[in-house]
Amino acid sequence: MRPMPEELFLPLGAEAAGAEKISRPALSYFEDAFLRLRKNKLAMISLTIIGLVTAIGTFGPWFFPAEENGVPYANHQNSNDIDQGPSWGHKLVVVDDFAPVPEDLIDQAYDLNAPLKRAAELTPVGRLSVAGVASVNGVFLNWDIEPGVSGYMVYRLLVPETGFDAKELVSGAIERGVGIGEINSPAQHSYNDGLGLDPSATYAYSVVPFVTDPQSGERTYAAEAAVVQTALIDTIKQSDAQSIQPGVAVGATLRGRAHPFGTDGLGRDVLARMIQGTRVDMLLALLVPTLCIAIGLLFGAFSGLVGGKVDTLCMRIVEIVDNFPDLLIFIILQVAIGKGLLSLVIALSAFSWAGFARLVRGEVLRMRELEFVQASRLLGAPVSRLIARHIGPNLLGLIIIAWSARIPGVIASEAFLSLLGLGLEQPTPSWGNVVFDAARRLQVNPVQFFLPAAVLGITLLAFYLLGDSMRDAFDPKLRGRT
Amino acid sequence: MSNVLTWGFLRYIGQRLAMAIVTLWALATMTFVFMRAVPGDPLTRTKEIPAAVRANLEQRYGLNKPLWKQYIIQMDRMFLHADFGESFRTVDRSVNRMIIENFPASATIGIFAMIFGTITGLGLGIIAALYRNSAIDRAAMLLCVVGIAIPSALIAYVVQYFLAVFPLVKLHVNQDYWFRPVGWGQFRDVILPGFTLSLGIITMMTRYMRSQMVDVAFAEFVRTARAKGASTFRVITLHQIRNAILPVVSLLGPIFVGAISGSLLIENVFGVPGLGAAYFNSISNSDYNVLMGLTVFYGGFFIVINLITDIVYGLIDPRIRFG
Repeated sequence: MRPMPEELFLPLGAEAAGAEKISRPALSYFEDAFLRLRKNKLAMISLTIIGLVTAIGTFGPWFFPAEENGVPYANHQNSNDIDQGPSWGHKLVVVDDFAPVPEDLIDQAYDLNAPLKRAAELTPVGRLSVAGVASVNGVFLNWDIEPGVSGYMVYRLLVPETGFDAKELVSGAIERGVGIGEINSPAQHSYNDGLGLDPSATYAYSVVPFVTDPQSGERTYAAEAAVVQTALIDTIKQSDAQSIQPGVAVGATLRGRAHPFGTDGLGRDVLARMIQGTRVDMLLALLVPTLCIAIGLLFGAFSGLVGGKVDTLCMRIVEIVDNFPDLLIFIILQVAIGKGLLSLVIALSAFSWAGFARLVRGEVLRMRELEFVQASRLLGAPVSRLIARHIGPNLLGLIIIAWSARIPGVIASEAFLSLLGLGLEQPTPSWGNVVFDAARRLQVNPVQFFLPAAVLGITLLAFYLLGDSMRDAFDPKLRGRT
Repeated sequence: MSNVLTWGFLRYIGQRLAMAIVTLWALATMTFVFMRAVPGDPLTRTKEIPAAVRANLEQRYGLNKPLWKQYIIQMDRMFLHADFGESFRTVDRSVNRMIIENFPASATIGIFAMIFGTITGLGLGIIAALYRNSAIDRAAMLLCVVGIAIPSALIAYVVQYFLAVFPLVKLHVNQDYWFRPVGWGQFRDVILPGFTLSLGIITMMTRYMRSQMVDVAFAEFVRTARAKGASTFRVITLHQIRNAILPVVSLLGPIFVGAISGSLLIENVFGVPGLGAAYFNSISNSDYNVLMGLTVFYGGFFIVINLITDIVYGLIDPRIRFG
């Protein structure tokens, strides 16, 4: 064996004695839970989404005008902006409220590069024509009086992208579209159509004269219609333009309001409604679980601590309350206390505490028997100290878990109640109101439904995943797993 | 099954039955109190009714009697004679007939959803558990999160748009064979609402079955079976699935309740002539008898189903003892 040098065998210094001690700073329950939560990627993404939604709900309304024409912006209906797709604001020509749009006004103020902006008359004699330029504010139709008729029916056809044969429309071989006007006077030979006009569409109008039999009142329609086809330009009424740019004159161009989520069937801005609704839903998400848990906690802890006959009675009550079908309870309570935010809070929380009460009672009963609680009792600690020092803090994890787990259910219930017409009174927006108002018009305007529905769905998912991660983080039984 | 006919079991059933009756009575009483606390009554409409007509109608429907008398009459009629009375809105249409005529539509969707959802959910749960932590497992879990978190009505509209409206309007599929967005009377009309409802059931079943299968996979009898040289297929089907599936039975009751009440919410979307419309309209019309009758009908239905589930589960699982 090789001789070992003496200097390798020096005594260990006193300061290095703790070098191999395995220790970390002690973690409190909450520090540990938050550490676990922070490590969970899904939880952090969910938290970010929820934070974002809350922030938008809080600060979002500042980016909208507070009011328009004396109505809160989220409830303001604009007949010019019905069922629009998402946009950052269209370029609009300001026009007189009631008169047709003159041709020369448009020529100087509006870029007419797009083809077919003006009416194309399809009947050989030109009996039907559009006065001025057709705009989203109105299409002013004029036609020659037909002798000997009693009135006219006016039809509007949305011209398909594939086009159509004008002759077939004249003869009525194809459907003439929606009947938009019925004129029961032989002398009137004009009609102003302002019904939900879409600036991106091309319309074909038909006017069919009819004769009414004076005896039977039966109508005979002429076989042929006068037909005109027109595309529209985007305009805004002068009175409506004032709120965007005060004092604006007829003929000026301006950029209309941005509608990043589009507008609904009443011309209300969907994003503004969603943001306003966020406040309602976030308030519910905060209040309802808190209330449920407060009631459940008091009831369950009372039942568990007192025990005996009182406990049995309390648990019977819990059983009855828990057995009530949720939906029926929401409905009955809504009926009883009427509509409004407060009644929504009461309806959602009044009977949803039973499950949590049962949980708390079980936990209290279990904890009462634990050694450290028994020891404390043996040392003469009063019940108040037992609750404050031992049982209370140990229930905290349970409370946090139950609280976060209830939130998505509350938001979903609000949506359901809105669907059934039992939510907040219209026109106050809530997420449920916005989404299910749009859902009823899904076939007309799908975008208006899918954007808010995506927001609602993603937020619900985020809350749900966060609740799940909270349970993982705060439940000591899961410690060491995953 | 030797433990079935013990005194403990009979006492347990008796207790549960008594509890069910008390719950039902409490629900009915609460409905009555809340209904009458609301301003307005079924005879108040937008058009004023002459006083004489009103008095006649009140006489006919017994609304002129004191409240406590009305309460006793209604309770007596409902609980002792199984008669829910007639609707105030529709002439000659009793609530009993309403239930007989319209409940089958709600139930059809519920049952379809339950069968489809249970089978799919079980299958998905088994596959997810066998291929733990694989892509299939993750996909199944993602589906479950979506199924739990997103309200079925929202899903209903999405399903209606993408599976019925969009194909019909944009893709021009054959109207005679494809799903109709709204309609009732043919088998294909059951599929979309049933599928929508089943998503929640699939979710519940998949999660439960998966966790059961994972638990069972580490059980000793499974290890023993493997050690004895049983084929993998035999171990999975005869030992794992057979044992894992038993507790799932306890889920069937809540699932059935969920499906039947869930159908109330979505049948409106698909134009299913179930009880949903009548029920929700009765609220705004303060149609006392319909509201009360359907509340008690559904409440009683749910309570009975829960009771049956507990008893059946007790019968098939020898580990559960009553009393």
